[in-house]
Amino acid sequence: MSTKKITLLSSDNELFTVDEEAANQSLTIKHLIEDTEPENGVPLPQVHSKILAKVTEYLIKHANEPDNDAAAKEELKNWDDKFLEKVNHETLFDLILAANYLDIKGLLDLTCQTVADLMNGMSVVEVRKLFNIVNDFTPEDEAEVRKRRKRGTKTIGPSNDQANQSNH
Amino acid sequence: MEPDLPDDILHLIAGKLSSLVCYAAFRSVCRLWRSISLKYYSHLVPPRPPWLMFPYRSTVDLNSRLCYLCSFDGSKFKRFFKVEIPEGCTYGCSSGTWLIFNDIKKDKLRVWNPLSLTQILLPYSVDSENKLAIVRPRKVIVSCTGPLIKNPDNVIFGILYNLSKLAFIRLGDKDWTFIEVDFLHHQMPKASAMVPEFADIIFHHGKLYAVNLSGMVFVCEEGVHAPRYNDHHLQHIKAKMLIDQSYKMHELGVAAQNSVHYLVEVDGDLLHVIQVLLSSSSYKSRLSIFKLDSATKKSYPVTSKSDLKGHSLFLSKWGSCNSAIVSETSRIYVSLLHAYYKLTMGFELAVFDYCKEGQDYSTLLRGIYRYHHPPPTWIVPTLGN
Repeated sequence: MSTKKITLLSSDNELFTVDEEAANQSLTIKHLIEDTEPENGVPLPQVHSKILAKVTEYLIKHANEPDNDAAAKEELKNWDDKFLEKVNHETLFDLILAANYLDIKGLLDLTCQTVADLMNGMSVVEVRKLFNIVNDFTPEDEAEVRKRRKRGTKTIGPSNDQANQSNH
Repeated sequence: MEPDLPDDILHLIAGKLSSLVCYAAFRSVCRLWRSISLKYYSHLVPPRPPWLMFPYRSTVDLNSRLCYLCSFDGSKFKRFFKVEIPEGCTYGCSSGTWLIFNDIKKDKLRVWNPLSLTQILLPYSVDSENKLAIVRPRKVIVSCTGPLIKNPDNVIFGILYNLSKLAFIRLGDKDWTFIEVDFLHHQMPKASAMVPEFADIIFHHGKLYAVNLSGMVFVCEEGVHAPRYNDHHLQHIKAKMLIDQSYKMHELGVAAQNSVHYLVEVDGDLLHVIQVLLSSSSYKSRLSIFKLDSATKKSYPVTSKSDLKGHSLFLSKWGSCNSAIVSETSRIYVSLLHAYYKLTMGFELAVFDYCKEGQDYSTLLRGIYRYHHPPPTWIVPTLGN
C-alpha cells in the first residue's frame, strides 16, 4: 500500500499534509494531482485554512471506510454526528461549499443532511434568516396559493349515492 | 451573512427534508425554493390508496364509453370523475397511471393516461407459427413511473394472450420479444399438472417477477444492477424459477384452473396472493397470502393481519396496485368480474377482512359490465406523464 503524502495549500497559504488515499476521496484533488502533478502542494484558492482543517480531519477519518464491520461503521457514524456538532452555521455553509467544490460526496451528504435537520421545527421566517434569503413572493402570489388551497378541499363530481351502482 | 448556495445543493437539501412541516417551510421561502421543492415531495408522503376505475351504468345508451374514476379512502369513494374511453377501445388492463386497451379500429395496443390524456400506440405481436394470428397482450406493465414519451428506452412488459408467454417491447420496436423461461430442471409435485401460463407480473426492486397458474414464481435476474433494463440486459433477459409455490397450492387443494394469482408489493416486501375459487358459478373464494423472500428463495405464509403492517391490498386481475395505509385495519380489496344473469357480466369490489379462517367478503360496489368496457381496475393517478 502506498503511503504517498499529498500537500494541500489553502487560500491563505497554509499547508496541510494527508495520505494520498485520504486526499483521493476528493475527486477535485484527485484530478488535480493526475492532471498537473503539482510540486509545491495542491493549490485550493477557494478554501480557507479554517475550513480546510475541518475537511482534512474528515478525509483522514474516512480514508479507510469499513466494508462489512458493523461495529466500525457504527463508530464512524457516531464520529460523523459529533464532527458537526459544535460547528456554527457559517462554518457549516462554508463546509458545504468546500465539499461541493472539492467533490467529496460523503461530506456533502453529511453537511446537507445537517442543514436539512437544522430546518426541522423552524418557521419560514427563521429559514429565510438562516439562509439570508429575501421573500420574493408578491402579495398576488400568496393570494393565488391561498385561493388554490381553498379550492382543493372542495369535492367535485357527482355525490357517492349517484355512483353507487347497486342494482340487485 | 451566509453565502448563497448553488441550486444543486438546494436540491440535495430538499431531498433530505424529513417531514412535511419542514417541506412546507422550505417551499414557502422564496420563488426559487418553491420551484425546487416540487421534485422532492413523494418521499415524504405515505403511499396513497389508488383510484378505482369502473364502468358507468347507463340504461339508455348501451354503447356508452363512460367510466368512473374515483378516489377511495378504504370505505368510501370520495371524488368521482367521468372519463370517456377512446372510441374503438375494448378490454384492457392498468399499470400505475396507465390504462392499456385493445384499439380495434387501429388494430394496435393503446397505452393511455386517463387524466392527462397522453397516449402511445404499440403493435401487437404476430404469432410466428401461425402468421395470420395476432397476439394481444392480456396484461401489460410499464417499467417506468416517469414520463413515457420522453424516454424511448423505457420497456413495456406483458403477458401475451392465448400464448400466455412473457414478452417485452420498447417504444419504437416493431414486434414483441419473447422472454425465455428457465425451469432449472424443476420437478412438480406428482399430483398436479403443470400449467405454464403466466398469470401476473410485477416490478419489485427494479426486477420483473412473474407467477404462472401453477404457482411457480419467476424472476428476470438480469436487471440486478439497473434501475431500468438497458439494451445489454434485454439481450440476455431470462425468467428463472425462483420459488415453487405449486406445493402450497397442492396443500391448499386447489387446481390451477380454480386459482387467480396476484403479485403485490407491501412495504418493500413481495407478496403472492392466491385466490381460490370455491365454485365456478359464483365468485365465492378464499385468499391465501405468502411473503416471498428472493434472497433465501423461500416463502412464508401471512397468517395474521399484523403481518401486513397496517397496509391494505388493492388487487385486480387487470392491474393490482401497491399497498397503502387507508384505515386502522388491513383489508384486501379485490375487483372481480363474474357471470351475472345470462348474457351480461357483473363486476364487484369485494372487501376481504383477512384472517386465516373464514374469509367471507363484503361487497362495496356492484355493477353491470359489458364487453367493451374496461374491467374494473386500479390506477395510480398522475398528471406528470
